[in-house]
Amino acid sequence: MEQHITEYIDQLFSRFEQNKKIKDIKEEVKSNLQEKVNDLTETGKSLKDAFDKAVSTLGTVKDIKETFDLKDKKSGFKQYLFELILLLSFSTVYLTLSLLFQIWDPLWIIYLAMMLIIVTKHGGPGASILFAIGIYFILGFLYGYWYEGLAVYGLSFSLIAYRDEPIAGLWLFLITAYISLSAIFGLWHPMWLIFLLGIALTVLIVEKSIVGATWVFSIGLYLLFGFVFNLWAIMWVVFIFSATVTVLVEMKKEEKLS
Amino acid sequence: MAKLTSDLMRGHSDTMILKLLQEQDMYGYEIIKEIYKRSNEQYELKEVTLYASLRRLVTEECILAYWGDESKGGRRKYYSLTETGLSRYENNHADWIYSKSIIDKLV
Repeated sequence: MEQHITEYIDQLFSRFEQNKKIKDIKEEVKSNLQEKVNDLTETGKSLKDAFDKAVSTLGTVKDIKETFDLKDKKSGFKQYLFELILLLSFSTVYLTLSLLFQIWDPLWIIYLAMMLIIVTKHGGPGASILFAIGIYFILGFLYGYWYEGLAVYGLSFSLIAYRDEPIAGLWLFLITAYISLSAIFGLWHPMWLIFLLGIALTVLIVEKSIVGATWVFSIGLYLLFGFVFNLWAIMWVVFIFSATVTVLVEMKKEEKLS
Repeated sequence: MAKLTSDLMRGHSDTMILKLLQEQDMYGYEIIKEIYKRSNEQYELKEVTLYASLRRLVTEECILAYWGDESKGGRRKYYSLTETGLSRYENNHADWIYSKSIIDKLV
């Protein structure tokens, strides 16, 4: 019966986009349904009758969509749009950097990072970690990057965390990038400035505030160019940029209200 | 007497849930069973209504959800009342007493 219930629930939710949220909802609905079927069979109903009665008050697929605020699955092309954009941007980076600096090898490694992103998105935590272990050994045996290669695990964990907690994933990623890039290239300073970018992105994600994020980002740019190139005198110009963005956003808001 | 399924009942499902959760934390089906029992088996809250109420109350921070232990058939999701939820209950309850007195005069 448990198998039967699982299949029914899977079927009921199959047309929606599958993610952590829907997994939680299915688990809750399933455990409640299971107990209801048990209770009904104890009152003397046959398994089939108990099951039919138990699912009768679950509502239609449409009710479920509205109640849980679910999104329909993306259709064919849209589903692969993300992968396509990913592939195009990685290829652009690969070709540009390789042509400029003649680093075809080992720059192809970034495609492994791209595959790690795709595997994590579709395959979940287990697949992501297995894949990371694979990449780690490739890097180790081919190039002897046993030490630097550890960053792959940081990347894998960031991606896993990102699925449920975007902020936690973002910061894990920044810390990984900071430690590994700084260690490899000796850039402890001014590499710490990427954390300012992190704060800007956090403000953007949590507060959904473009204005807030812009100001944090501008201060970051100001500090970066100030410290690295000693451009304190010129860089205040970025604050004009933030002020412009602020005014534009506020004007948009006014427009919406009126 | 036919079992109640009216809009009037459904409109108060949030308040019913808030009242139950004052006694102890409960999971979804447990709430349905309690409501059925306390209505002398006259009112059965439908799952679809229950989940809609629970989601609304969580979003409005009237209740909190957490996963309980593994049971037969999967983990249970429990709900507990917050301070906001308690004051919401008291408001709704006062509203109901007031409305009832007026409806009694009109209907």
